[in-house]
Amino acid sequence: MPVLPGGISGREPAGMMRGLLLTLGCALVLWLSLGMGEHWLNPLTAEGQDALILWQLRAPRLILAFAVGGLLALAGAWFQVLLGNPLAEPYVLGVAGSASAGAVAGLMGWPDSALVMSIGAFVGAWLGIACVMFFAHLGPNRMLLAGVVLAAFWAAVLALLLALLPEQGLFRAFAWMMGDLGQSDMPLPLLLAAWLLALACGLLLSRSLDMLLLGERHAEALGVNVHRLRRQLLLLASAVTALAVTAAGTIGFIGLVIPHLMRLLFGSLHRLVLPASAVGGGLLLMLADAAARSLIAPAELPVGVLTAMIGVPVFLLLLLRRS
Amino acid sequence: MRAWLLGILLLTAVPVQAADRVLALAPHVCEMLYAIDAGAAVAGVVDYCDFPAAVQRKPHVGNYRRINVEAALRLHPQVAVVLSRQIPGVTRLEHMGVRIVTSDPRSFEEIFHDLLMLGELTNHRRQAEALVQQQRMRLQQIRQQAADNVRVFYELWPDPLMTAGGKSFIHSLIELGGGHNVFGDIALESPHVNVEAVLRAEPELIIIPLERRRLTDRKRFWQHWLGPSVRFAAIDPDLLHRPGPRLIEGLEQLQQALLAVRSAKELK
Repeated sequence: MPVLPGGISGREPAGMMRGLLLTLGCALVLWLSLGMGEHWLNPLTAEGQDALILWQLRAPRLILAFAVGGLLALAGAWFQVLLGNPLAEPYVLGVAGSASAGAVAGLMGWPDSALVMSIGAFVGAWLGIACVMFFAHLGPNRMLLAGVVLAAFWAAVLALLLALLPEQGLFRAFAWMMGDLGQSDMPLPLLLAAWLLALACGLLLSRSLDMLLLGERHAEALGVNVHRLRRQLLLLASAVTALAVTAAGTIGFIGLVIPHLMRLLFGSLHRLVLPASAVGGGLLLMLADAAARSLIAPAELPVGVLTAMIGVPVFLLLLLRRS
Repeated sequence: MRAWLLGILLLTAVPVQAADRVLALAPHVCEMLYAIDAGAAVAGVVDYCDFPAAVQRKPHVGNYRRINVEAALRLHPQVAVVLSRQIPGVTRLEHMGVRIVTSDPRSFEEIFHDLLMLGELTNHRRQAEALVQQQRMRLQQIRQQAADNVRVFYELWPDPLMTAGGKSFIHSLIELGGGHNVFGDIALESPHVNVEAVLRAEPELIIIPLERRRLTDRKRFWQHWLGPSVRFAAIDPDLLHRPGPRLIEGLEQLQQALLAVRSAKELK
């Protein structure tokens, strides 16, 4: 068995302890994000109207937040390996820009239909991905460069469309661009299924991913078909990003920092980092959404603002302590 | 000393030449000018000026984001009435010798003030005074029959769900009509809220500005959450969102809806 960086073998008791703490932490986040809102509701004792609010309004929204956060974090982890760059995140190749442009284009045609906007976002995301695919064979660095340039292009297209968009469409366009969990047309079972599927695919690829981290040559020497792996990764990460963006708009930060945070906590083995990211990203977005609903209640804040405000201090603190 | 004072008095009393080429660069300004019979003085408008119908034939010189200075100057305006000096193009227009007047009324008193100001500007003072007089009487009547504390939710926008906060003009209209804006405590102009907050606020009346949006869909949506007893009123948003001469009409419609809720309560 090859020697891999940052393994946890030989530390089983500590691992158990950590597992227990994490489970407790997850339960706490779940309880908090369900209970928080305009009024604190105890999820265990709510009845009548409170129960209606809890299970028909807060719960579906939290499931959406969990799935979207998890998908974004997974996509971030994959892009970081794929591009060999710690600054990579789901939107680095311009997918957020093309999805936003698609969404706004949909709004221009049908200002009343949230569904058309979602379809526009999905089509836009895939259009962006297709453009990047053209450069996939040039290797990670050139692909990254192409992606960044494409991102600038999509940003320009978006600005053009926004300038032409009638006033009535602007509210929805801006809410969507800052991340909007309040209204989503995506069926929740579909999102959860996608979350599970993405995680399963990730786990299947996790050993190859670990080897790719050692460098392309090493990975090839160890029997990994690097070219194919890259294609699979690009497709997988892009599909997941497109889905997350379509469901909830563009929510920044999670895809960049959650994978790093999980590496700081669990080492760099992907069979740990990927599930941890899928869960951790989901939990962070749940918590951020709870804060967005509660801080200036009964009014609401855009959730994209809060993901960074909660996540950045945690990440920086861990970075300082580990170095 | 006396002669000096007299001189000043005479100087200020010399009537300023009435403007007959005015750029009306906000929808409510167009409506005001037409309401005081000064429609002929309107030289140019912006894209969102659509009332009365005659205004649509006037040349357009910009939209709510920007004034096209060249197009504006081509109309040889003497005065431009704008919402704010911050709109790109306005200061440029001023440098080119066009007199800039701002009109952004935030209350009925300010609307009346601006109507009189425009009357003065276009030499339609008599018409403006008559209109203000008549509107004051209607406002007085509204104050006299104010409904008592009907709980109102104003659905400013359905997706994202937005309402009128305590700093909005709409909020003051609701209170004027005798309603209680359930989100009046939020010190913002148009806050985002969620369904949960509306549910908790227990509104008796939901006002939906009918803006290309399907009333039946919104009714079904809110009845799903709030039960069948909640009442609805659809009001043309142009009547409520434009601080112009038709605002009083919007307020009257709003009050009719409030009174209907009250009498339904009394019947019970």
